[in-house]
Amino acid sequence: MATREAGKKMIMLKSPDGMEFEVEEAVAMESQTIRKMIEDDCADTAILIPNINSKILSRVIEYCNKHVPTTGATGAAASDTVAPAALAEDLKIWDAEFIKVNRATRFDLIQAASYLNIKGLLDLTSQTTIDTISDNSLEEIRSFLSTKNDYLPEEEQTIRRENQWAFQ
Amino acid sequence: MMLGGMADVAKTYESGDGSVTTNDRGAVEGDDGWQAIEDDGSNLLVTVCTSIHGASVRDATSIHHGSSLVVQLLPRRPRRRQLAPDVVADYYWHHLLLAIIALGVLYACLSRRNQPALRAVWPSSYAAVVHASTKNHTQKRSSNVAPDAAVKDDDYWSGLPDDLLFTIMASLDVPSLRRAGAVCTSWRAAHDAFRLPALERAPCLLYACEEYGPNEAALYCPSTRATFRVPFPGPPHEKRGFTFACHGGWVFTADEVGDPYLLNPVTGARAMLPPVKTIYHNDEFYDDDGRCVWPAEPEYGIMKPTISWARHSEYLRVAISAAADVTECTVVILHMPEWRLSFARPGDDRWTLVSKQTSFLSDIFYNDKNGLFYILGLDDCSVSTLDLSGPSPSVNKSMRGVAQDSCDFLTKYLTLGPSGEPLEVWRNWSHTNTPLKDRQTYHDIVNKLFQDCVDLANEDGNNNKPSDYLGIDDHQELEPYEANENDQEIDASELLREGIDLPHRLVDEVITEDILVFKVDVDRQKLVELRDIGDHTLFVGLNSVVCLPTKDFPAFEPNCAYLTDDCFDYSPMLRKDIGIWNIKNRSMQKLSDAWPNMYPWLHLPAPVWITPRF
Repeated sequence: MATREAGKKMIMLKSPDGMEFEVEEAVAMESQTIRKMIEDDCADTAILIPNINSKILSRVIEYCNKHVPTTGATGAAASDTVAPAALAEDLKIWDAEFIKVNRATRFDLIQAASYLNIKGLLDLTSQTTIDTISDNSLEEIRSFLSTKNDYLPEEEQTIRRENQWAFQ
Repeated sequence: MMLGGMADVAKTYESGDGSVTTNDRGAVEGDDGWQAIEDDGSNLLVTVCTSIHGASVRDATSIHHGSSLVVQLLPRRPRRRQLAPDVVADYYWHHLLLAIIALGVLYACLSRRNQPALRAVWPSSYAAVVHASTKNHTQKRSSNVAPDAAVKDDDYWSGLPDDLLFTIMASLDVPSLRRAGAVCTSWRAAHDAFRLPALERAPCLLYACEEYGPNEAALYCPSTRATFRVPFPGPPHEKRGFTFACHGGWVFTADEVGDPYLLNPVTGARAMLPPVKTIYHNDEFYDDDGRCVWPAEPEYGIMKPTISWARHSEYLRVAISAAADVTECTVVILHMPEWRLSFARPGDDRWTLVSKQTSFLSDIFYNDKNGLFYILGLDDCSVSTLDLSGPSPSVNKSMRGVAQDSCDFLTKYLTLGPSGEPLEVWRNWSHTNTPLKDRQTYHDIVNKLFQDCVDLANEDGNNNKPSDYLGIDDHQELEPYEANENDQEIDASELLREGIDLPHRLVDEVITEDILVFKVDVDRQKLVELRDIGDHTLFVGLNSVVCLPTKDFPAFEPNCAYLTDDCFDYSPMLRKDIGIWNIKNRSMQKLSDAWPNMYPWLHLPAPVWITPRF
């Protein structure tokens, strides 16, 4: 275990609220943004992730840890006995649990995924939003996402009249 | 304060080359697409419109008046990605110091939730270091300093950055997109960039693709070069028959057993039509599962039972009258057997035969200018009008039949020309049979595709082998089939996809050889060939054929016929005769070459031209 640790390059990620996270380079490089910084040699010691607070950053790291390619990254657990299909299924279940968060956290996660350019996390958070919009009425969307209806009453009426078919 | 802020913007901009106007919302607009508006806080919002991939994308920038930073508007500056990691990376090194200072200032200004702040890691040439946000959100969110307060007033989703909002909206079907646009004003702005209204005016191509899965279809709008998702509920695509597009944005399609219904693919609205078995003679033609059970009558020598499905074989052409309410429109179908006409209204119990005399017809067309249907004779090219507004149908011949050589490989259509006169469009196609040596493989594929048909044959004990279906004589000697090293296992579902290169061209091929356009001269009782239709273009296929002026629809080439597959011969899913026919040059351009950003389409339901309505 110690040799494995020693062989891995570690990266320090700093959140603006002063927390520091030491992660394996491979985990950090799940983020294309960080990958580019590392590849451009812009990240000698620590990378400041300026707009993602420690709470969200830790969740993002949790996601990357889980999704980093299994070859050697998670050590003995990712033995060759696990079939790729079962692993993918496992990840799907894990993702579904991971995204069961309140809308504020979900909003922060989608922004973080976008900024850090983590495709899997962006797809996951976007899909959750897409499902919310696809499966619900206008009122439900507003309530689930807690978006304030800032239309004037007459504007709202016009939109409803023009799009009656979409609101049924 | 407010006016002062706006005036400053206008002045700064006017001192350059641009001119500004003030719109009715009190926003200042530049002549090249930017707009500045002050929200109810101390923030000045500047939006810059740019165009990416044909879709308008809004870039919004909010400027804090309280800061001492200089506002310098740069007309036509390169579009700044809102969360631009590449920008961060590119400039990180060169502008590290600057960025850190900027971030420090920004972070001090912003709340914990103001994550978009980092989007503004600017190079030094941008004097205005600002944070990006969508309108009317900055102030609200800035006030949420304490996390607890943020939980109470947590309307951050309306401030979702535009790039994310676009990604999400692009994955929604049209009804959901409309709902999303109604959520709040900032989402409305993103929704408007999709230019949905453009859909309502010009022909679009409705097609199924693997990309969108079994319950949705793609609607490609050539005018905006955008593809929309539309709901397409019903059986799996491979169990659909042909889908016909008609006036009013409706498609006529059939369920698994061939029972027809009308569907508006944009809104998802549906109207039920009488079942297939109520069509003249069909109670003895199809069983309850839509399979053809026409009994064999060997004494006539021709009535060997064929295996086909109502959804594939029953409907030849469809026309719908215009009506404000779909339940009041009349649907006229040209159907099997005997190419007859029947009509019904949504909600009717059964189809009514127009008359026993009208048979062997080629096309049916509705003229919304006079409320009459026009019908085209199959062999003699005669044109008649059909009036269904009275108590009983009345048919009047307006153009006598003309003698012509009977030709099997000719499809004829009827439409209205630029000045309201009927046009006949003839599509000549050539038919290449599967080379004999490939037929064994062809059999295997078709057997797979029609496994259930073969089962039916076996059940009935009528010795109906697939060769009957394929129209191959049992006694015909097949050349020995030699295995070729290029042969490969072919998945039947693969065949439903367009553009698969089959080994040795296994399928019967149909190619449009010529398109002829005739003006129907009713006074002189003559067909006059038009070698040129000028600045008009035709849309031909399983749709009500339309002739449109290209000056109104610049996305389309003049003097062309936009063609989709509509050849009914046997195996409908095995051909790909779809493209743009130039009437003057007599040549075909592949559709995928003209519109490269379409997805590969499936053969069923066959792609159709439709002018959506919603």
